[in-house]
Amino acid sequence: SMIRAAILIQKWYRFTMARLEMRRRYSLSIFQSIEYADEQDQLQVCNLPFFLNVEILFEKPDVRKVVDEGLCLKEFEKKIDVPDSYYGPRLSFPLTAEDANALLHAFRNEQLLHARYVLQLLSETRRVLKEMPNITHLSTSYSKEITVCGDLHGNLDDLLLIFYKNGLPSEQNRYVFNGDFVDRGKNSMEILIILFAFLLIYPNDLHLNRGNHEDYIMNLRYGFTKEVSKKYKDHWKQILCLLRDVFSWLPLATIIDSKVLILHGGISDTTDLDFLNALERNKVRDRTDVGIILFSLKNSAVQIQHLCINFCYCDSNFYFFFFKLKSLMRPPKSVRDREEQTKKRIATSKASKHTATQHTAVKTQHNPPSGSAEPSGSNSPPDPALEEWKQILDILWSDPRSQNGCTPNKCRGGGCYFGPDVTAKLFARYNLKMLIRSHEFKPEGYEISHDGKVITIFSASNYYEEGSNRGAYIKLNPELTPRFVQYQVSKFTRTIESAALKSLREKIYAHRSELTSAFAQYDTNGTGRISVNDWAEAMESVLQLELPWRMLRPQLVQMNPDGEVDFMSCFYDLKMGQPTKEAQPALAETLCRYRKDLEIIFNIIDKDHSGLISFEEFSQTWRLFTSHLGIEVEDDSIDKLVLSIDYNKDGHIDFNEFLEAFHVVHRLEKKWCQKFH
Amino acid sequence: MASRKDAVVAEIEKKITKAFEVFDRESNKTVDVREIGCIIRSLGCFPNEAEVQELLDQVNIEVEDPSGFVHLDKFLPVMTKVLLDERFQPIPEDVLLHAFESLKGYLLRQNVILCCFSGEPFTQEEMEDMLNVAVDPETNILHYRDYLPKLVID
Repeated sequence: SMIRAAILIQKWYRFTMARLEMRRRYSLSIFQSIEYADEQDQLQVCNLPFFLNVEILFEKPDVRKVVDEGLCLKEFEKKIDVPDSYYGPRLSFPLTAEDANALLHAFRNEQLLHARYVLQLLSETRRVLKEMPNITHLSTSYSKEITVCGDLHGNLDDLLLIFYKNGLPSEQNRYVFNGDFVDRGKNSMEILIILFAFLLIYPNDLHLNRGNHEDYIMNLRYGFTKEVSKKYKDHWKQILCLLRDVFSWLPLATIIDSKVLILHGGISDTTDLDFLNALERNKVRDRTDVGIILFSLKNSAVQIQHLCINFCYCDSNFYFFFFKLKSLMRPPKSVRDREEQTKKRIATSKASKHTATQHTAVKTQHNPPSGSAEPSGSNSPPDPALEEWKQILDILWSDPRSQNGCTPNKCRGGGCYFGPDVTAKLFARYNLKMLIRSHEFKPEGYEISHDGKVITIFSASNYYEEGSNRGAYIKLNPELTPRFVQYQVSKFTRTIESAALKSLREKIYAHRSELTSAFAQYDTNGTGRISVNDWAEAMESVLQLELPWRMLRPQLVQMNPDGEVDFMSCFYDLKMGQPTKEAQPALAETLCRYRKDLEIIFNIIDKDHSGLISFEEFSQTWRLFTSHLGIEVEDDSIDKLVLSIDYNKDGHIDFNEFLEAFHVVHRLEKKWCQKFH
Repeated sequence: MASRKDAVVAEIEKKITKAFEVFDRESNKTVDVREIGCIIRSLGCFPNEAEVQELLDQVNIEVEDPSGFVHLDKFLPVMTKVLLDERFQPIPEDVLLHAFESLKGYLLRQNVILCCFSGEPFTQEEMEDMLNVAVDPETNILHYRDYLPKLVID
C-alpha cells in the first residue's frame, strides 16, 4: 500500500543521510588532523637552537627603515607616488567612516588598495596599537551588545557577511576580533586593511586580539606572504616588514566587565594574567630564522638528529649543508615512544631558548659560529625571557579538552590541552565567568565546553572546502549571556569527502616505505594480507593521525572476501600531482613529504618571488649563510653548485630543479651513511 | 569455535567504538542521543525510527538519563548484539524501486510532501532536504529513477 511504500522510502532516506553524515564527519577530521600535524611542524621552526637571523635577508636599508626609523605618513607620501590612473580608494588621515566605506566598496569590487596607503595605514595602526595595554578591559555598561568574532583566515566574504548581518563597527556597535585574520584564504590583506581602518576610526570600539597566525613563519607557510608578494610586487617587503612589527603589537587578550576573558587559543595551569599584562608583548615575536647545521667530513662530524631538508653539496672538501625546518617530534623510522619524543622536544626547546642568544651548537662537534645573530646596528629587540615566551605560547596555542589536567598539546606541538579543572582554577583566581576563545575549527561555527564556561567561536565558513562548515559570531549583552549567530557563505553541499581523501592519500604516499614495513611486521606469514585491526593500528601509528580508519578503509584499501586487508593495495593508483623524473619510490616519497618545507626555503632564497632563483640570489644567500657561520667557501664552488642544479641550463633555478637537487642528497646521504656507520 | 567468536566480537566492538568516536565531540565517550540513529545506520543497519527508539530504551534501561547523552559503555553491548544477530538488514534496492513504482502517479511534489507526513513523519528539515534533491523544480515531479541511485550510495 502507499503508506508502506512511503515508510520504506523514508527508511532508505534516513539510512543514506546517516551514512553521508558519517562520511562528512570523518572527512572533517581528516582535514583537521592533517592541518594540526602541519602546524605542529611549523612551531618547531621557532625552537631550533641554531639560527641565522633571516632579517639579514631583509638587510636592504630602505626596507628596514620602515620599521627602524618609524617613517611617518608624510614620508610615505613623498617616497611613494600614486599615479592618476589609480582608481582605488585614496585614504586621508585621520580616517573617517567615509574612508572605511570606500575600502569596503573597493574590496567588494576586487580592487587593491595602493601600497602607499597600505604603508601609511600600517604605520598609523602601529602607532595606535603601541598605546594599548596587553589586556584591554571593556565594559558593556553603555552599549547594547558586544560582538565577538573568531578566526577569519583571509575569508573576506565572511567578514562582509558579518558586517551585513550585524552592522558596521561604530560607537554603538562594538566588536572584538579574536585573532587569525590571515593565512589560507585569499583576502588576508583586505581583511587586515578593513580591520585596521576601523581600529583607527573607532579605537575604543573595535578591538583586535593576536592569534597564532599573526606570525611571520606561519605566514610564509600558509599563504599570506605569498598573497602580499603577488598583490604588491614593488612594496611587499616593506609591507611585510612593517606588518611583522604591527603583529607584535597586537594586544593579547580582552576582558569584558571583568568577567569574560577573550583570547585566541586558551590557557594553561600556569597562565598568569597579571604577568601577561606586564610583559613587553612586542618582544615576543616569531623567530624568522632558518636553522642550519653544517658539518664537514674532514672533522668526522657526528650525525645530527635535527630534522631538516637535506640539501647536499659535494665538492672535493665534502661539505654537507643541512637546512632543517621540520618537526623534531617526528621519529625517523620506527614509531616508538611518542611520549618520549615530546619530553625530549620540550627539554630541547627549553634548552634551545636559552642557547639561542648565544648561538652555541648543540650535539655537534663543529665550531659554533662567531658573532651573534643580530646584525650589528640593528634595532631588533633582544630575546624575551623563557617564561614570557611560554605564557604567550600558551594563550595563543592551547585547546580545551574534557579530561581534567593540563598536558602538552601534542597535536599542535605548542601550548597545552587544558581541562575543566584548569578553567575552574583560573576563574576562581581572577573571578571570571566565561572564556571565549577561537583557534579550533568547529562545524557549526561555535562550540560550548567545560560545562558552559568555555566557548569556541570560529568565523571562517567553508574553511576546508565548499560546504565544510558554518561560521558564527557571538552577541554578548550586558547580562553577559551569549547569543550565537551562524552563517555560511554558500549553499551547503555534501561533497567535501573527495578533497579530504585526496589529502590523506598524499600523506599515505609520502609515508609509503614506513607503512610497508609496519604492515610487514603484522604479516608474519608473508601472505600480503593482514586483519583490519592490524591495518588500522599500523596506519595510525605511522601516520600519527587519529582517524576512524575502519570507516575509511573502503576508500583506501581493498579487502578480500575473508575480511582481510590486502595492504599493498593502498598504494595502487596513487597519482601524485608533482612530476618527478626519479623513478625510485623512496625519493618521490621524500619529495612529497618535504615539498612544503622546500617551498619555504625556495621562497626565502627567491627574494623577488619571481618563481625562479637566479644565480645571484642563490650565491648571495649561500654566502650569507656560510659567512655567518665562519666558513670560507670559494666563489667557484658556489658557481659549480648552482650550475649543477640548473638542469635545463636556462640560467635560473626553478622550483622543480630545486627539488631535483635532492637526487644528489639521497644518493650521497646513503653513501655517507654507509661510510660512517 | 569460542576463540573465533571472541575475535569476531572484538572486531565488532572496535568497529562500533570507532563509529561512536566520530560523533564523540569531547572525546569523553558520550554522544548526543540524537546522533544515535546516525551511528546505528552508519554501521550498516536499517532500522526505522521506532526501532531506533527501542534500541535507545534498551541502552537507557537502567538509569533514567535526563542529560540527553548516551555513554559508550551502555551503547556497546546493545549494539554488539544487534550486529551479531544481524538485525535490521537493509531492504534490497529492487524492493525500493518497487516501492517507488507503486507510488507512480503520486509523485507530484504535493503528494511527496503528504508522503513525508505519513508513516514516520519527516522533520521539516528532512522534508526540505529530500525535496530539494529529489524533486525536479521545473516539473515538480519526483523522478524516482534518477533519485534511486542517490539513495543507494555505496
